[in-house]
Amino acid sequence: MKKGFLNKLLVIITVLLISISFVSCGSSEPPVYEDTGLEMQIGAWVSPNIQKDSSGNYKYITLEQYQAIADSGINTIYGLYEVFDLNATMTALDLADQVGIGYYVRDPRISGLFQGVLNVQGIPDEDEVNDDYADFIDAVDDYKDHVSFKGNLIYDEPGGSLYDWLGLYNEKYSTYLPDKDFYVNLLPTYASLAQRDELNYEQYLRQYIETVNPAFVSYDHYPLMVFYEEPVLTDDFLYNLEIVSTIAHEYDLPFWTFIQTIGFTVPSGTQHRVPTEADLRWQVALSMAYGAQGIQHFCYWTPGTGTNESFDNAMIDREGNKTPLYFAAQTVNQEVLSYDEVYLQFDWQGVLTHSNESFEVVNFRMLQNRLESHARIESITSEEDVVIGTFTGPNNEDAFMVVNFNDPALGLSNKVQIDFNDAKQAIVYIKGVRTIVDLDKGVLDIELESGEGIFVIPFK
Amino acid sequence: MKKILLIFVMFISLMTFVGCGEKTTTIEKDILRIGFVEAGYGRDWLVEWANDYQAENPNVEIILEGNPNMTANVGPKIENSSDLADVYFLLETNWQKWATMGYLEPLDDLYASEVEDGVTLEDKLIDEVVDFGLINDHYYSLPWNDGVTGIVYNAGMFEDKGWEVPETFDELVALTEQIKTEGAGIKPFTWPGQYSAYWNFAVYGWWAQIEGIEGMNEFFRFESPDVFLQQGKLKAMQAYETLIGDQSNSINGVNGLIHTQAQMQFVNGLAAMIPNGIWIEKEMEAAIPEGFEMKMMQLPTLEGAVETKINNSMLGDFIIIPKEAANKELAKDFLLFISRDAELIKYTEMTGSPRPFEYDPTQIEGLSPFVQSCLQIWKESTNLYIISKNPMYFGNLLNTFPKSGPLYGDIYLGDETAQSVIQGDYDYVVQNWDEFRERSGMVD
Repeated sequence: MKKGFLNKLLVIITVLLISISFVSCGSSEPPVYEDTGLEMQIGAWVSPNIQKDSSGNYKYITLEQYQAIADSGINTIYGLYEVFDLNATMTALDLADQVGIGYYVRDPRISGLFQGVLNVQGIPDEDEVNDDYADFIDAVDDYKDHVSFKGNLIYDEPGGSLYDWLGLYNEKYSTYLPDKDFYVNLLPTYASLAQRDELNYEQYLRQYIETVNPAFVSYDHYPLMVFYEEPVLTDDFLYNLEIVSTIAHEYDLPFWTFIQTIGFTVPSGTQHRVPTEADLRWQVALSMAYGAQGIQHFCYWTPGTGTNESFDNAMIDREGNKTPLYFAAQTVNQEVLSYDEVYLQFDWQGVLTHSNESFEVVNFRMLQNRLESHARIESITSEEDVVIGTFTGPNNEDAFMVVNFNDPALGLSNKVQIDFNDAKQAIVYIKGVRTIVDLDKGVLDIELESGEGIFVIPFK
Repeated sequence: MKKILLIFVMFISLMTFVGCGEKTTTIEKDILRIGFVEAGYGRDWLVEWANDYQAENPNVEIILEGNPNMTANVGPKIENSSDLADVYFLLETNWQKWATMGYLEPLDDLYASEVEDGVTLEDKLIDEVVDFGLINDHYYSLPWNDGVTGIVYNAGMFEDKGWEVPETFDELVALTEQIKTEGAGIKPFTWPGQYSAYWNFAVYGWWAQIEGIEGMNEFFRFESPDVFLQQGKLKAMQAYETLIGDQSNSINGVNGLIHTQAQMQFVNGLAAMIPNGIWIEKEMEAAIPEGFEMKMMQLPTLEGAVETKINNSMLGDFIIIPKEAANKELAKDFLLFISRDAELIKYTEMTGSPRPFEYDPTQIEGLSPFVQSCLQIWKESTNLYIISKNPMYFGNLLNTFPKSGPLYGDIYLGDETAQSVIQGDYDYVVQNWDEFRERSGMVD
């Protein structure tokens, strides 16, 4: 017993000494990150259209089109128009299986299930629940064994009054399909109180998490606008990221956000501009600065007419052709996928901002939980506004997502100097490419392109 | 901490240091932050108001924060009390929700306060709009713009071609045929198919001609689904169907246009008329060719009208003070100041738009013929102000066309008829009536 204790003590002391020697001597070798298989969710709304040719074959639900999805870096495509045609869903799943991507099914047979089973006290009628559960199983059994079947699109932008229903539904869904996604996407901060059923945004998020018990939080916010040909950002883009990230983090849930990958106009006349590659990179980088673990393109396929919105072309036009946005999104997706297995090993801690203006831009002014400082950073100087996401790695090392915050439409580059404490070099991912940078007395001196964000891991 | 720092920096920046030997005098100014939609009317009008107010109140510094998307941006700020201005000028949205949830400062004292010469703000407002800002027996908003909407015509073209401005709907229909015959390719209408609700400007007017103001008020009280079967609404939609269901009356491809595209076609003479409002001239200021002249026509009268001269004001833009604003009393004082005759006149001079107050903007000299035509209509018509206090309305559950919008585009394409739109809305409302009442808190 005593000997065992001494042995244990010896092991502990040895480990402690080794740890201390590492800390005190430092290392000129950059940290190494094993491939853990972690992968960002790169989703996209609107799968290829269900239109058929004169022979009755699908014009766009083809291997060529699905291969194009995979080639773009999208790893999960979201069915939309297949809701009208189960055969289209099955064909799409076959093709997604072949090209190795995931597919969310939008199945009208299950869309309203469990909705009418709650009585006025909110208590479910067991018989009705069982009936709906049987219907649910009948429906999803048609496709649940497809490799590409990743989950079901359940509801887009619910009001808070639907949470009790969604909570019950998720419970049943997860019982039968524990490894699949019960996909719900939430409203942005700029949605009206009426849309959220009179919940303020924090209540809207918290009640969703506590009532629906989701595996992730997804929301949309389209920040890139144009008014009378002048580019404009939504004031609350960062605030939306901040509040979702903070609350998701509090509940230990990943969050995903949509990327505006299309220009569109809503009935009120508000115009969302056609994004550029820099616009896409900017949205992705800022989302990652807030610790997003998934990005979702809105949209992949150009939505049809007949909605209240008017859409420009998305990544693929309505005739199935690749647009410039396809190649722009492909570039940005590949940049993310080239280091996502590293990024995802880091835990998000918070966000710093830096501005030279005493009266900051409104996106900064609206933030409520910014970090004041970071132990690793002595000082920051920059030509323009900067957002810096802070992270802690698997070995307790620090990392930073440094983003040029200027509206990419302005085309402004941004020279940034960050004086790191206790660091001689840094791993820097620039457009996804890993480089080792020697720091000048701890200072990283870099010029960020318009819309650009870099992931920096300083080390000694 | 950041907020404290910001306030400190603002405070320091607003200190005026006057050197006088070794003595230093410090004047601290009160700050009034004004957030506003900076769109068609620009910001000159507000700069002018701010200058006038500061001249009279040298202890006040006004900071203007304009943004074309301010209406959408304000929601998150008000709900979280972050980065709030002291007063906001916003476009139509459901501010009533903010009021009922306690986010807005009650303005009862403001309405009761004297503007000038013993006249209170309530008295100064046009009688029909006094209730605009009233929710649950308290005032929470103030109307911003009044308006003139309807059908704008190319006055120069009409004069050149010898076309008469129609006074009745039948004359308008006849005019479309005349334009197609004599216009050498000019079409009677262009309009923004992507925002087809621009046709509301004329359709609501025709509807009010048939139903009268009391009939319109009855509709917007939404006391029963039966109001969706009003004959006036049907006749107004049928008038639209007659006019625009004939596709030859519109420029080809009109269904894909946004408002500025349609307006470009209009000012470039491709069409003789466009459904629009008093703001079009200011909005298209930079694009209007030299010599181009437009005017608003008094909305042609439908057969069976009980009110022959109706102006659909499209009242909806509003002013609010957030409950958590830093300087609410100063904001109220500013709102009283801008309700004076001199400031109202100045606003109309600079924007071409009237405000819903008792004053006479037609006396202003130097206004364009277009603005003059609008103000004449505003002065001589029965102005239609749509004000609904029904929670189903401001909860976005009920509106004029609750099922799928007005479907003007579908009627243009022949996919719907006036009758089918009216019936579809009625059926939809009947089906959802109980649920809507429950969701809006009208029943337990």
